Amino acid sequence: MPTLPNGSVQVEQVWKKFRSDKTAPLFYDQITRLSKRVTERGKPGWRWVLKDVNFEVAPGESLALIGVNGSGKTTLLKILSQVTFQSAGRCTVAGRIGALLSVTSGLHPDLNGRENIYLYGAVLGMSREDIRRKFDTIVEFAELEDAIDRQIKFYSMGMQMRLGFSIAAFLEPDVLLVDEVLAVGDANFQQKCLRRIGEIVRDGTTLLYVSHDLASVEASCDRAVWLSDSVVRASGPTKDVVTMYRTAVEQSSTLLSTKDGVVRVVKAELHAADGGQLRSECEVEVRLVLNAPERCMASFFIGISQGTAFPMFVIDHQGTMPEGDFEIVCKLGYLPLPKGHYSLWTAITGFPKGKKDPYLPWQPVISFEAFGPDRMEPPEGVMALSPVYVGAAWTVS
Amino acid sequence: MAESKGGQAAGAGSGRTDPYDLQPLAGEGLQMAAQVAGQFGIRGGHVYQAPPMEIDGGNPVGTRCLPVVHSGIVPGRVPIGVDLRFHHLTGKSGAEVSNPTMAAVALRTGKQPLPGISCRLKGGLPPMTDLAVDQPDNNVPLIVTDLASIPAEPPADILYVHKVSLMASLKTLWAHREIMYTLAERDFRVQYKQAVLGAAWAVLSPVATLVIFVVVFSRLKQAFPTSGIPYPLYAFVGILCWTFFAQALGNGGSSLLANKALLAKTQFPRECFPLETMLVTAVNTMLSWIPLALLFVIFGRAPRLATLWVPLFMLIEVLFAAGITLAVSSLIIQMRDLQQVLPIIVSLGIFMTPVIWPFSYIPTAYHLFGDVTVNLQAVYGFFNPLGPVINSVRQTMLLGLNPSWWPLTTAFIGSLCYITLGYKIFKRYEVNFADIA
Repeated sequence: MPTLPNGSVQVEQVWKKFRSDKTAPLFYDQITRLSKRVTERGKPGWRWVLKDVNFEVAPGESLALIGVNGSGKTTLLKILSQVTFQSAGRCTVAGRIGALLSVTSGLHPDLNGRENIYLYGAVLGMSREDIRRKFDTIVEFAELEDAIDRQIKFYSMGMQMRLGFSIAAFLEPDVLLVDEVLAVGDANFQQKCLRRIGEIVRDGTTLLYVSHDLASVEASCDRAVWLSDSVVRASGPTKDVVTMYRTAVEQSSTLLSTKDGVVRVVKAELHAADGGQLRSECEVEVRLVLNAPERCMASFFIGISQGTAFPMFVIDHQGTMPEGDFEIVCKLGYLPLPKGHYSLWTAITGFPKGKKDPYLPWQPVISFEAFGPDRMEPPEGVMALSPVYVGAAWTVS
Repeated sequence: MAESKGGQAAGAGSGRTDPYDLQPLAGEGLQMAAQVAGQFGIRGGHVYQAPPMEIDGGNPVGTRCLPVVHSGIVPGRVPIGVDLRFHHLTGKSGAEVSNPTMAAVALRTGKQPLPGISCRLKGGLPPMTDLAVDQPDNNVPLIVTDLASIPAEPPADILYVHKVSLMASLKTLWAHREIMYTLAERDFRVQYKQAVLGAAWAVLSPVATLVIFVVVFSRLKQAFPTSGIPYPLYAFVGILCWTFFAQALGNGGSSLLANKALLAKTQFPRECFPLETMLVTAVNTMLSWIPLALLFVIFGRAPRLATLWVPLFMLIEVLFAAGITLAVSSLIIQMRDLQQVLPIIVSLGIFMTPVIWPFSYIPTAYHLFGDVTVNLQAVYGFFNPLGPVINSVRQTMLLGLNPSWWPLTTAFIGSLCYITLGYKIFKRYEVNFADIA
C-alpha cells in the first residue's frame, strides 16, 4: 500500500450498516424480534447507513459533506476518526487527526474552565505541554477570561460551546474533522469560528466539514460531497454540488407541502416585464391564478427562496379576495437576484390576523432560473446568508 | 492542441475535438489574461483565443445546462454571451457582441455543449496564452453518481475485519497514556468537588471504615485461626486487597457506559476508560494504607521486612483485576443486565475469597485418588489469583514469612491469562462500542 502524504484522506468503497433496532437486547424486544422474524421473513434486522462511498482529499484541501439529516454524514466522520468502524471498505487518514464531533461532550460540568481545557485538550489529542503553551490563546479566543475559574455547569450553553470550540480550534492536526459545530454561540462568535477555520485551512490543514448550513459550507470549503440516502449523490466544486443539493431539497419540500388550504393555486407564472429573459435587475411580473371559495379580506404573500422554505425576501399586500377564480399580478420593479435557480413561494392568510388556518399555507408554486452575473463571493471566512444582487458602480481613488 | 487540460481532468474521452474550435494562445497577453481571470476567481485552466463568436441560440429559459464549457472574461459588469462560471450560456438570441477587448476561455468539463448554440464575437481578440503555466489546475470535476451502479451489498472481499494485535494496541495505549492520566485526574477532582472538606475525604472515609471495623470486630469472638495476629489487622489486610478488586471491577465495569458521551465522539483507545477508573481506584486504595498503618500502631506491631514482596503481589492483583474489568466493561455495554448482576456476583465473591477466612482452609495436599495428590491452593490460585495474593500479603507483612510460592506462581500465570483474555475480548468487541453506547 503506498503511503499517503500527511493530511490526505482516502475513502474507498466504504459501507456501514447499523442495527435497525437498537433496543434489541431487551428480553421483551428479543421475543418481539423473533416473532417478527417468523412473520416478516427476509426483512433484515439492519440497514445500510453508508453505501459504497468513495472520495479522496489531498493535503490542504477543504471538503464539505452536505446532506439532509440521517444521510450518513456524521457516521462517515466517525469512521474517519475511528470512533466507529466501517462494515466494509477501506478508510485511510494520514497524519494526526483532530476530530471535533461534538463541541461539549468532552467537558465535565463539575470542573472549572481551566481544568476543562486540560481535560478536553487531552481528550482531543493535545499533549499537556501543548495545552499549557496555548492556554492563554484558547481563553482569549473563547472570550472567557473572567469565567475561567468557574465550574462550567454555571456557564451558559453558549459559553460552554465557545470553550469547546476554542480548544479544538487550536489543535493543529493534519486533518481536521468538524461536525456541525457552528451552531455555536452568537453571530459574532460564529464569524470568528469561520475565520479561524479559514486560517486553519490556509495553514495547510486538511478540513472535512459537515454542516447543514450551506452558507458556511460555501464560505469555507472548495469541494463538497453530497450524501443522500446513504450514497454519495454528487461530488465536485462546492458551488455546483450545493446547487444540485438545493434543487433536490426544493423538490422534496414541494412534495412535503401538500397540506392544502381552502384556496387553490390554478396557475403561477413569473416572467420579465419586457417578455425577455429573467435577468438580474430586470422588471418582473408575477401572475398567479387562484380559486377561492368565498369573498373575504386577506393578506397575500409572495417570497423567493433558494432551496428552503425560508425566503430571501417577502412582499405582502392586503386586499379583498374575490370569490371563484381570480388573478393576482404583482410587479417587482427590480429582480435582486444573481444567476441561479430559485423558487417562488406564496401564502394567503386572513386579514386582520386571526387564529384561523391560512387560506393558502406557505408553499412553493414555481421554480425559475435567473440569468445574469454570478453571485459575488464574500471575503474568505464570511458567510453570505442569501444571494442578493445589487448593481453597483465602483470608484477607487 | 484543441484538447484542453481541464477537459482531460474532467474525464472527457480523449481525442474529443473541441466544438468551439478554440486555438491555444501563444505570445503576449498572458499576464493580462491571468490577472483578469484571477479577478474572477478562475485559477488554472488554459486560455485560448476564441474564434469570432456570435450568440446564436441563447439558453432556453429554465433549462439546466451544466455541461456548457466555456468561460468568457470581458471587462464590464455583465459578461457577453459566455458566462464566468461555466454553467450557462446566457444572453439573448441574436445578440451581438461588439468591441470585446479580451476573452479568456477555460475548458472545464468534458461533456457536450448544448446543441443548437453557437457563439460569435465580432472583432478581433488580443492574443492570450496558457494560464496554467504557473498556477496549478485546481478545477475539480463535478461527478454525479450513477445510482444504478451501486450494488445492493458490498463485495465480500472488502468486508472489514477488525484485527486485534495486542502488541500494537499496547503501543497505541502507551502513546495515549496522558489521556488516561487526565481522565483519572478528572474523576479524582470531580469526586471531591463541592465537598467542604475536599480531598481530605480521601483519607477520612477509609479511617471511618476502620473505626467501625475495629469496634465491630473487637467485640466479635475470634472465629478463625490467625496465627496470633489480632483479627482486625488480619481481616483488614484482606479487605484492603479485596476492596481494590471490587471497586476496580465495579467502577471500571460501568466506565464505558459512564463515559458514553466521550466514547461516541472521541477517538483515543477505548481501554483508557476502564484502566483510568482503575487508576483512580488504585490511588484511593493507596490512601487506605494510612488506616492500616494506624492499625499497626493500635496493636503495637510493625510490618515485617518481608513486606518488600508486597508490590509483586499487587502486580498480580492489578493484572487480574484489569483483565476481568476489561472483559466485563466490554460485555456490560452490550448486555446491560450484567450491570445489575455484577454487584451480586461481587458480594458473593468476598466469601469465596479468603478475605475474612484464612487461606490455609484450602488443603495443600488433597488426595485425589490413590497416591495422586493435588495442591488445591495452587489450583485455586490459578482461577482466583486473589487468594494467594491476600494470603501472601498476610504471610509477609504480618508474619514475616516467605510467601508460599506454588500458589503464587499459578496465581501469576492465572492473572496473565486473565489479562490477555480480557484484553482480547475487549478488543474484539470494541468495534461496536460507539454504535451501541
